Amino acid sequence: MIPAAIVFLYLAVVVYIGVFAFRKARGKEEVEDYFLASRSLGPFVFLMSLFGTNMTAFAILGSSGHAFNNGIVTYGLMASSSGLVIPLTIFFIGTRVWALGKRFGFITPVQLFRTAGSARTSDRHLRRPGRAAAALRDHRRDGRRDDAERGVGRPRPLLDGRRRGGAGGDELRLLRRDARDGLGEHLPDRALPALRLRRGDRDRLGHGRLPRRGGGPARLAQRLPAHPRKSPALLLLQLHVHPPLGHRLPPHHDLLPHGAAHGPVRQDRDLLPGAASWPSGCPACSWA
Amino acid sequence: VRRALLVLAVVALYVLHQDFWLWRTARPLVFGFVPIGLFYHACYSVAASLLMWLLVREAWPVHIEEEAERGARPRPPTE
Repeated sequence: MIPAAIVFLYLAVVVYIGVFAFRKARGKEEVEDYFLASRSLGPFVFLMSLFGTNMTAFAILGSSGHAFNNGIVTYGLMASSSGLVIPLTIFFIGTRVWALGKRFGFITPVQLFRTAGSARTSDRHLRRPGRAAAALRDHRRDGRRDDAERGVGRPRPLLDGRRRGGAGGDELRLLRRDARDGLGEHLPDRALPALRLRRGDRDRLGHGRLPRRGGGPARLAQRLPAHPRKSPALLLLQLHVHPPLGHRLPPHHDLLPHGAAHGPVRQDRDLLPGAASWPSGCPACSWA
Repeated sequence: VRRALLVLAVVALYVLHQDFWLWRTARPLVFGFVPIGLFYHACYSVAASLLMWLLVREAWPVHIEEEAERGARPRPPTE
């Protein structure tokens, strides 16, 4: 009887906490509040959460069995090693991940990696989180019009329109604007617009024959020219699977050549089959 | 110099964890009941804590923190 009472008492406390939290959080319907308590948890809760995360069945049952069989070495294998590795990981990696999460509103680590992939940050940027932060910040800033409205940062063209690759200019190479973010690689012109247009943008631009995102990697691969640096498979993976940042970008940034000529060029028409005309106005410059 | 010393301390602590000298050694018993191998790692844990305290005190990445605070997304107004 007493064990059952204790169990029900525990359940009642849990339900009370749930109801209490629900009432207190009423009106806050953001997913950030639900999953991360609006990023309000302090170090104590963080450490307790970390401790609870590590107290798995292996820690409780497995280590006991290991210690029974092997003796005192279990402490050295599990506890003292964790005492060095986990804090060092938090110190060197956790602080960087925290900064990126705070800055860009990441909730899960997957969002971080997806965004890093879509920003074409290579592994060297992941090894240098400061540069990755700069790259991600610039992308986010450039791509969000609401940021510009708030005055956080003016949208700037991500790419310039320098003609590269021959006197004829048959191929318009798009060069990333900011060399500081380390993304100054040449990108194939055909790859970017197709993936950076949102559905609404396609309609507004008056064309509908761009490959859909779900159109299949093979179909998309046919449109991708050979990349000068990366293998087609890697490029396809980056472009096809990780386009979230690109979807926040105004389409003009990738399509319009900012530089010598503001206006439609033959190559750009080729990029957008069916496009009868360009939309008027460019959010990135004074061209109208 | 300070950073080099901290790096050296981290490496030294890592090397000290490669405990092949007292790994399975139980005796002598420290304080009459703690096996020496276990006592070694208990001291190691304390040393790791001190090292982390030192790292946080001397080498905490303040610039990352400041940058994140400066560029954090504006929060939506709460009730």
